Amino acid sequence: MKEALLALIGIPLLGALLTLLTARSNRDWARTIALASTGLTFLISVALVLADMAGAAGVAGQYHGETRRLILGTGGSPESLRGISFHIGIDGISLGLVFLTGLLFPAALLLTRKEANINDWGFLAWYQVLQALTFGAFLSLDLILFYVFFELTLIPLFFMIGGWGGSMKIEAATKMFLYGLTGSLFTLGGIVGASLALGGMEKGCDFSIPRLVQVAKDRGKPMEELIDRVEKSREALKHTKTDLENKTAQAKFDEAEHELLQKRNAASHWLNWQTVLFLMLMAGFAVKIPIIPVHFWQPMAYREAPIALTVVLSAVLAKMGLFGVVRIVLPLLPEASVRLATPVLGTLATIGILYGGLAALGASNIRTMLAFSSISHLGFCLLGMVSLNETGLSAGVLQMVNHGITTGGLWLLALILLERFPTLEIHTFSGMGGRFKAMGVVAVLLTLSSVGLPGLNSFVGEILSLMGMYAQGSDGRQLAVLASLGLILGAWYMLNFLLRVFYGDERIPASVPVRVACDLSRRELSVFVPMIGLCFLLGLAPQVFLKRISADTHAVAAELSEAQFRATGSSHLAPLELANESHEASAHKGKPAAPRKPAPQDNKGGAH
Amino acid sequence: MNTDLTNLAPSPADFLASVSPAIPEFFLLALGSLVLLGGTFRQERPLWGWISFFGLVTAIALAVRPIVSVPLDGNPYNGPLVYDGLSQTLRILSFLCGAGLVLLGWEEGDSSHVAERSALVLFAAAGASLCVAANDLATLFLALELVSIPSYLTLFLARSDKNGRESTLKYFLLSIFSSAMMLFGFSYLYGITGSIRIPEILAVLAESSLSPVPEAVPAARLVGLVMVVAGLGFKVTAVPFHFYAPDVYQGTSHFGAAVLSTLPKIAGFAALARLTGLTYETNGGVFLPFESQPSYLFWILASVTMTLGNIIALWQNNLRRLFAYSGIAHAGYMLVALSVGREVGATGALAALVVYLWAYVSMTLGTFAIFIYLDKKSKHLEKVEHLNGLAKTDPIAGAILVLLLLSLIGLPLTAGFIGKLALVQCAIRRGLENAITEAHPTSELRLYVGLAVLILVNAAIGGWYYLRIMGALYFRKGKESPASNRSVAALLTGAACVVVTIAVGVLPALVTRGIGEVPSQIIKTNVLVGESQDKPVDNH
Repeated sequence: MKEALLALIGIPLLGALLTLLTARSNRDWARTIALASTGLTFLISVALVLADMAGAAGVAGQYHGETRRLILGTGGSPESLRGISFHIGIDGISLGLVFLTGLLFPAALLLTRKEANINDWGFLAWYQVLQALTFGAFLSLDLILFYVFFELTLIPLFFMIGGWGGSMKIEAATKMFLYGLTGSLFTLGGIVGASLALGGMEKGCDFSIPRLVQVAKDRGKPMEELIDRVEKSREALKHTKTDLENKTAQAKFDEAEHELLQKRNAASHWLNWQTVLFLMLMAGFAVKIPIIPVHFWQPMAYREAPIALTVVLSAVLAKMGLFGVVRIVLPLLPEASVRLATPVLGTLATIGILYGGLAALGASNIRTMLAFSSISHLGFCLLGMVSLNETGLSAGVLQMVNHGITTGGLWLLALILLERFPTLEIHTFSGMGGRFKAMGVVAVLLTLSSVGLPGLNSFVGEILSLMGMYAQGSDGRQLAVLASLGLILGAWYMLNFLLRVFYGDERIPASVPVRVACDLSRRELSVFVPMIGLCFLLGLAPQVFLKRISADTHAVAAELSEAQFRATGSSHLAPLELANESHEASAHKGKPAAPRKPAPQDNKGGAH
Repeated sequence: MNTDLTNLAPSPADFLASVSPAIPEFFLLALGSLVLLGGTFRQERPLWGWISFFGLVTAIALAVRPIVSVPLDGNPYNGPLVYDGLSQTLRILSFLCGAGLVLLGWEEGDSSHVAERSALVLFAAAGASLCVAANDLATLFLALELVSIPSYLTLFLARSDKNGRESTLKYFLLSIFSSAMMLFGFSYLYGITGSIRIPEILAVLAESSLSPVPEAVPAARLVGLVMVVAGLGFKVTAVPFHFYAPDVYQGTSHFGAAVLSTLPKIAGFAALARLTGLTYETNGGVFLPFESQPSYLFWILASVTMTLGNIIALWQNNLRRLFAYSGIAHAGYMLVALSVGREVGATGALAALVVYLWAYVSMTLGTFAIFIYLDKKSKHLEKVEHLNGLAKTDPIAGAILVLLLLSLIGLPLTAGFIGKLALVQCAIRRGLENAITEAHPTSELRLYVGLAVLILVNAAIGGWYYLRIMGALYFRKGKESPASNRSVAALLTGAACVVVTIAVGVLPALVTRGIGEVPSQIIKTNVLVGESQDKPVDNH
């Protein structure tokens, strides 16, 4: 297992190196190397999934195939740089994403014709590097390691879009890079801040995700005992008889109350600080997904990138942001997530679902349509995650995989169309299904899956997402109702696309030689058939996968519900002055360092 | 408290003992004089180039295993020079930088001044190296002048046209003006404390800030501080003392700009680290004791410097001018360490400063090396457009330049990233530390977390103009110009800088070893404040 994970990162890197060294003048050889290395990662990821299915159900917080090596941390090194390690492992949340990475990288390459301009040693080397980095990001269990992989993906993307893209490639590459860089720099600040706040500042820095999650979980616990103690001492105070007893009871009560007050103060600082960290961490992930106000790079990048790259950009790389949310943001910052995730991210996700749907409806090009539909679909993943309950979280993770397969499949369809025809403008096509039967069937099935037909995969993910959101209080209910309009929009634009391109009178773009315009070849079928099989499998038996992820999502959900209980449960103490204090604290939204009034000490006596 | 300068004179044996670790510097000075003398007889490029280069290599070899000798009274901080972890790493940086500059100056300009050019680099490298070890104001000043005077001459030799003369004169006048300001500040520090030895000055200032009636002192202290910071701010191009940099860089040659953007900055930052007491924390916890004023002073300098540098750089098209502003921005990042230093624990802030200084010097030197290489090759390299299509016409130079640019942007696995990480970490840490120890968050939290965010915002702005260069290299079409002359030495320097950048990026511990520690074999005696704070000294 351990070796398999290392191989996932190592094989594409070796492939890239081999391409660089031996294939600079031979396009066929470069393609062979790239197909072999990405194909090997596919086999490994399939083996990982099978091994995992055969094994026992996962245990939360347990990662398979862990490798841990300290990178920085030798004696004499400065404190500020201590504790970065190469720490990788796989669990239910990352399993599906690793599988997607292993599936789509070779698929996109396999479907590209040999003569395409991307079968160039430079592009293929970068492509393999990108795959290695993607695997690395999904597998890493160390914050800095994750960041390194996450951020480094910008470099291959920049060179691949800028070097082999469409007519506006330089603008697209620059825009993508600058958006990504700006966002992820804030994420870096958030990572550093979270590790300092959670890992402690005396021992040097701790960047290990499992350890920090544990710390975050334990943070709120002592509070409950204290509340108990205050309650008890108050009771004791009421039942005192003599003066002396009263005095000691009063002293005890004061002490407990004072301690609680301090803890509350600390907790409210921690909450404010969490809010800042939440916003900083989310900046990078929001750009990567992308969420609405920072999505401007995405349609252009998807349009201008070579289409094989667009496939993996949309189907795999966008998941890095969502993965960051579920792996880092929610478990490390439970209180801030309870406070901000549903209202802020949920709203943005809903806006994204509707905006993406409307924009896709108006798109005249297949690429633009799929780009906007991605915004809409990823909105559903995010919506599920930010509902913060187990249903929603599982649905979010499941939907990431579903989107990878379905939208990935649609992008691959666009790829093979572009292999045959010079353009992807929707109006140039008509009645393709009549002439290309197999292609028509594939298109219909993928479209239906994307639309969310029951029995196919997206249905399960989307419905569970909406159910999760619906269960999340009244805000959640409103959002869920609004977001479900996105399903209708999705059906509208996807069926519209199907109707215009594959039905009606046969018309294909002029000036295409007939021998190029042919139906699906065996090579193409060998990619599409298994993908459609997966659509059915995940649609008819989602439990196979849900069972696998539930242990991990359950742990996150349990932590979040505890945090939620702490946030709302504090109203038990209404008779105490403290309660008001904490209400006031929670009213200070978005102001990290709002100077807080010291609690009025002389009010203590008023409690009895 | 010494009020008489004659009391400072140590016994000859003591003096020799404390100066003996400086053998590499003396060797360089002697070699530089020889080269200068020899240059009057012969002007041969390879001869003087090789001699100077191997002289610097010898100096590095001597510096790697320093002769540590203890002053007779046992306190390493009593001599004119101090060889602790900071001086150790930065003197190697100065020598390496000097070696790179010798290689770059090899084929620069006409052959009639090749000996002078090499000798000046030797002097400046020795000066920077002495400056990082200087422990009293007189040594510090002399060392800084030993960096400055060769830089005037380098500028003078670099270009003889009208622009070159203008930039030389501008730099010369402003530099002596800044030296004068610094001396003025020094005179205040000496006047208040009666000592020229930096640890003693800091100790006396610390005592006076504790005394019940410090009323008379603060104003004088502040004048001293501000003057010294202004003088050194010129060396490190901190805003508002940066005005010369863009004009001077643009007016001189690539080589002149490479010299100005590296050695004086090493010297300036080392001097600032010493004078603010960043290096003396482990030796008794003495910081420049102006409550929080120096911290806030550096806060303002850092934030203004990085923001202004980055924003103005966005509009630049001349490469040297652009890199002048980029150098200003990077100086701003490094000033963060000085602002944070006082309370975070010097080790963290000092390590961040050192890592970033290594990163900055290797990135900048490497970039100018590639510029010199390309300038030689195509006879002309002034604007960003001149780099168009470089990746096609010269893939090796293109790849080196891209790696350096990625480091300048601050992408992972490079020194630029690890430097920024360390700075952000120590800034946030300072903000948080106060928020946690005190029951209520102070303004410090907002101030220093804000500073960390400002670094990140600036890094993003910086990405913009570095990316423009990267785009030009890879995606724009350039015209192939016939290669007239290839400077292999410059290309090798660039490659070596990439190696250093990545090595520091992956293993920053390489350059931060021993920082904040006094050299081994020295038993610490805390005579500075008179308190006995015995801390264990790591032996290794």
